[in-house]
Order: sequence, then C-alpha cells, then structure tokens
Amino acid sequence: MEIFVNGRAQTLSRVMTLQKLLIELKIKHPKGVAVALNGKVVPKAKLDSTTIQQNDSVDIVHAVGGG
Amino acid sequence: MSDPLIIGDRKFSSRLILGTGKYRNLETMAKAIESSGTQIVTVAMRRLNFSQKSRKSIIDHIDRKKITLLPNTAGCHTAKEAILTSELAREALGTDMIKLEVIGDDRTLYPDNQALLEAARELTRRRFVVLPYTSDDLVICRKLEEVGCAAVMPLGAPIGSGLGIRNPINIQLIINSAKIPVIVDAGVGTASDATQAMELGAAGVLMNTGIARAEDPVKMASAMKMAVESGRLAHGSGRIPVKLYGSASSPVEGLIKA
Repeated sequence: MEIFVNGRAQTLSRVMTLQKLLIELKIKHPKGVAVALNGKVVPKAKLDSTTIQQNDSVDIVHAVGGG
Repeated sequence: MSDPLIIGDRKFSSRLILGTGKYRNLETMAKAIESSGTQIVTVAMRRLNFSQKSRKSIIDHIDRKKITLLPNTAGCHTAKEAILTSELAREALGTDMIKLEVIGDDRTLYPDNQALLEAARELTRRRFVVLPYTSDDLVICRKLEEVGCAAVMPLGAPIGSGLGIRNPINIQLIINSAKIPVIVDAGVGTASDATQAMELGAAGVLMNTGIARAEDPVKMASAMKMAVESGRLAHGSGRIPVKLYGSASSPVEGLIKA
C-alpha cells in the first residue's frame, strides 16, 4: 500500500493505524508532535483508532526554532 | 504584577517576546531567553525530519513553567495553510495562542493581509488566541481587531532587516486607534529601536534576528530587556514637548560677572 509521509512516498507492508505508523517510524515521544491525515489534524486520542488507507497523506510535525 | 502585558486572559510582566530561530545553537538560545527576561517565545511548526532522530527537540530547552510558547505560522502563503498549521500547533503544544503569519511576498516577507484577515476570522471562531503579524497599516489593524484578534503585531520593518521602526507615525496611529495590545513585530536591529517602539506606546516588542544574529546574543538580549523597560517607563512619564530653541536648566539670576 502506497502512502505519503511528510510528502514522501512510502510503501506499507500491511494495513495499520496512525499509532502503529508512529511506532514504526520510531517516534517514541508523541508529546510535542502532531499528526494530520489528508490535511486534517488527528487528535492524539484518535491515533490508535484511525486506519491509514491507500494514497493517504500523513503529516507529522513538531516545533522548531522560529520567529 | 504592576503594569502587566495582557493578552486575552493571560498576564505577563515582561513586554519583550523572543523568537527562537537563527541561533548558533540551542544553548545560546536558552541563555538569551534567560537574560532577556522574556515570558513568551515563538516557535515554528515543521515536518519531522526522520533522518535526524538523535537531535534534541527545541521544547527541551524551554522551561514551560516560566515561558509561554507562541507557535507561529511562518512560511504559510495561504489562509488554508495557516489554519492547518495553527491546528497542528494547538495539538502538538497544547496551546491556543498563535502568531498568525501569511506571507504575500517572498523578498520583503510582507504579509498578505487579505488572506491574513480570512485566517484570523476563522481561527478566532475556532477559539484561538490570535496575534497576527501585519503591515503598519491602521485599517488592516482595525479589521483584525474587529474579527476578534487578541493583539495586533504591525511590522517596524521587514523581518530580519534590522532597519528599525521605518514609519513611527503609522505605528503611532495604530496605537492611538487600537483597543487591543499593539506589539511591534520585526525590524528591530538594536536597543534604541525597541525603546522607540515602546516610547510610541507599543504594548510590547517581538524580535528574533536582532538578538539571535548579534555577535553576542546573550548580551544583546539583556540590552533589549532594558531597552523595552526604559521605553515603557519613558512612555508613561510624559515627555517634555520638543522645542526649537534652548532653555537653560541653571538659574539665569545671580550670574557671576567678571
């Protein structure tokens, strides 16, 4: 299954939730991180119940230095 | 707390807001934050770079018990991008405060005020505390106030330019008209620029490059702290009228003649 993570094409070997994807990407501290699925924010509480579909676009963001 | 800066329902004793970009390293940034006495710092929201796993997050260098985070929408060029970035910031950082920025021109970094107003209207509807970075224009500032922004942040000069307050008359007109805090954002190059903004009656000053790119950012942060405090005190002290000719400070009677 082809999806896009932070704008890059990625192949998933199986169907998974956003929570599982974060674990696979080794994002251990979801604190300070937010996830959007197809341009809509997915609250932390719903990461585990949201399944990723073919061609979905996932954005995983965090805070960096800026003015 | 005497003479606090009030944004929405929050109170701050410091009127200096710092950006966290462009520092040589995070340690220098943390020291500059400390010596500036600021209680609000801005951060940007960006996609995680998965190839940099070991890097410590900027959040780990900011004491959130003392410092309020003000995420920005820097780099956004449309209202849609700015709204999504705001929602991501609220989710990631647990704050409803947002420095709203919609860039309309990449060279000057001047804001797209039409898109800014559209985003501000939607974000206030979604219960964000919106602090928009905008032009030094009275009318757009008034419209931003009307849609419910918690403050307006007109630019002194282009972001990162260090040109100072290019149009103090415009800043003055905005301050005279606004009922919400006016925070001068961008353009500050040195301490006197910050003082000038505060003397005009600004509620605060937001700066990043002026400190981060100074040769000694920690020392400059300390200078800016004093500059903002000085300007605020002078503003509240009722300065003398400007006169064309001299007026002696020493008595003119009893002069010694030789």
